[in-house]
Amino acid sequence: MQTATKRNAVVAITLAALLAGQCAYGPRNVRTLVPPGELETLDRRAPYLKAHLRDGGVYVLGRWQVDEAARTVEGEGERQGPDRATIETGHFIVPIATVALFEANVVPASKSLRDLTVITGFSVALTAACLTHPKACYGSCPTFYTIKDGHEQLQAEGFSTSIAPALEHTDLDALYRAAASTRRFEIVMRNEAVETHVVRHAHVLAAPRPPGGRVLAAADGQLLQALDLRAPSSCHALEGDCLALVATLDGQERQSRTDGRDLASREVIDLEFEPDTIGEEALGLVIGARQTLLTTYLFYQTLAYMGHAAGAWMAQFERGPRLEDHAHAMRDALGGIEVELPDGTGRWTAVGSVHETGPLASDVKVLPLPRGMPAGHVRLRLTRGHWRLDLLALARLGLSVKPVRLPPVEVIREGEGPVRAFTAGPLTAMPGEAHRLVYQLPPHPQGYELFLESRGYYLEWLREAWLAEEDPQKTLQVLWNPRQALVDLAPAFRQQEDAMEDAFWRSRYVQR
Amino acid sequence: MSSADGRWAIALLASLLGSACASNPAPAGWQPDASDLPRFTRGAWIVVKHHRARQTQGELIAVEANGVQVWTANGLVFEPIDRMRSVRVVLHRPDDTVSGLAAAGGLSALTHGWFFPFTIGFWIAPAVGESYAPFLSPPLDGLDNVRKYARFPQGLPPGLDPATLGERPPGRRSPPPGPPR
Repeated sequence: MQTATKRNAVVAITLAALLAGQCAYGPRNVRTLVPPGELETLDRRAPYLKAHLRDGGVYVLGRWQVDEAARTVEGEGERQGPDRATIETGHFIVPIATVALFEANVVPASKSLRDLTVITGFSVALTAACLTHPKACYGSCPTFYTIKDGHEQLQAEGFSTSIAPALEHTDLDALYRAAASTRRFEIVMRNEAVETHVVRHAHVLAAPRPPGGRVLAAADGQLLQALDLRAPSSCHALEGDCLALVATLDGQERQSRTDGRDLASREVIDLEFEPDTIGEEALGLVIGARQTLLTTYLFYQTLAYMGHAAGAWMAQFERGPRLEDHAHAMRDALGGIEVELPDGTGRWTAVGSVHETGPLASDVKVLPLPRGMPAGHVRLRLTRGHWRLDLLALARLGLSVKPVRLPPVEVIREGEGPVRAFTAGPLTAMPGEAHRLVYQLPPHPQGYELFLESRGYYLEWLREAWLAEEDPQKTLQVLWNPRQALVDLAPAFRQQEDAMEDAFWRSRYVQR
Repeated sequence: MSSADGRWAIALLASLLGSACASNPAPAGWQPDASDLPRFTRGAWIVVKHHRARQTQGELIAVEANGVQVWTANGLVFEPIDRMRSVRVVLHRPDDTVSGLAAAGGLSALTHGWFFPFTIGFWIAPAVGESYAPFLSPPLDGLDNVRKYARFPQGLPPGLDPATLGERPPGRRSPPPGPPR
């Protein structure tokens, strides 16, 4: 952020805070006056009861109680004169008939102190998280939530690789766990990071489901009917059996750690499916996965190396396609989840790969397998410590499905109200903002598989802590020789790998 | 955050907090803490501003239909509503814990780097809010709402001798009236 802009932001936010402060906090006293005839309405939580007498004197009674039958109040305390000097202390029984007015006070806890306690917790976490793990600071592209039983459920993150206007692209995410029961369907789009999001569009694609089956997206964006999904009968990785973690999409994920020597080191996972089907029919491997924080770290490390020149580098991306290729060089070096099948000669043949960028929300995709090859044994080859696998399954593939494309019928900015968005231009979301996107689904929405097609880009805000590592030569290495950079950065990443996850979530801009 | 930015931020924080937080017109030691209000039997501190920049302040003794009785350094003063421009009532002392915590927190926000513009606001709001928390500024046609904060919420006792109200609150005494001209 430029200094002038930053100062303007500070002034604006400070003034808003001053106004908010003056408006949000009131006196810390709830005082009620009750005439003697309405004594039963007294607030019994009040620690003291004051009985104002007609002559100006007053009783202040603790541990007080009312004797309705005797028409008296009694308690321990003191009697004061009109000058408020103490006349007498002790236990008093006061006839109600002598009292002009009763007074009770309840002092609620300090709202400002309570708020400061919450803010302190957040601030300490933010300070600690960002100072100890500056490259684990929360980052995300727009996050998309659906609402289930009153709770938001993270479904997708949009266009994670679009870190500059030139890299704007369209992302297709399955809303695999969303269940639409009515035609009105809402998605909450949040900016939870210190980023600026520019969202060109956010369409829901509704694809009719086949009876008993699902619809899944392939890497090329094609939507395919998927039937008879079956979990593997075995799953073996470096650490041993991994079947329980990948059998269902339940948030229990299989992931590994990097080896500390090369961030591009590969590992293999062997899957077996029964029966050992020889592909007479079209089969596909279903993969539900998301990335670890490795990509986030590398992205932030690259920005740290760019340092003060980050803006110039980003501008360079805008000028031509040459540098754009290099922007993806690191991603290409890390690779996706490559799928291999036995070729019948004892070797494995690569048949395709699945790639989904982003560490927040798992996406479910299908990779069609070539016909004529046995699909009973499947090998995944992937970068160590790079992927979190939640679901692996084999499915029988049906027809390609043409979805209904639905733009939102209403966009509501939280705390503000309906806004015109996506019609005249893109929607820009600043840190902390949330937009409720309302869609009108086709009749009988339960029969549709839903996808989110989002397009846009986002701009990461440079963090102060990153500037200390500014290094033009390292920047060049990351862009032009990513393989070597992945080796050089491996020990540093391994050192903080285990603590990154916790630091990442604690440093989210919006604590939820 | 650079050191220049840091200095600028501290200066801004200090000056804004200093000017934005409400000042308390009640004499030091006069008011109770909020937690002591249930046992406090004197009236709240009231400042009545008149047209022509004159003001009366002191302990709120009673609220009547056409004005308020104020116990001042000069004695018991009746202020009729039709001479008032505004009224401010101070119920209790602000909580020093909040201002201390907010000041420390505001300084800690300097370590938040680029988050600073956002986190600083969260510290300022409660501090400013706390400084305004003890104040009531009732409309002149709603003075009955502050009756409960008077020493005599039931109204001035009939036949009360002002001399029995006890010690006068501290404050500037008006000069004695001069000789008739």
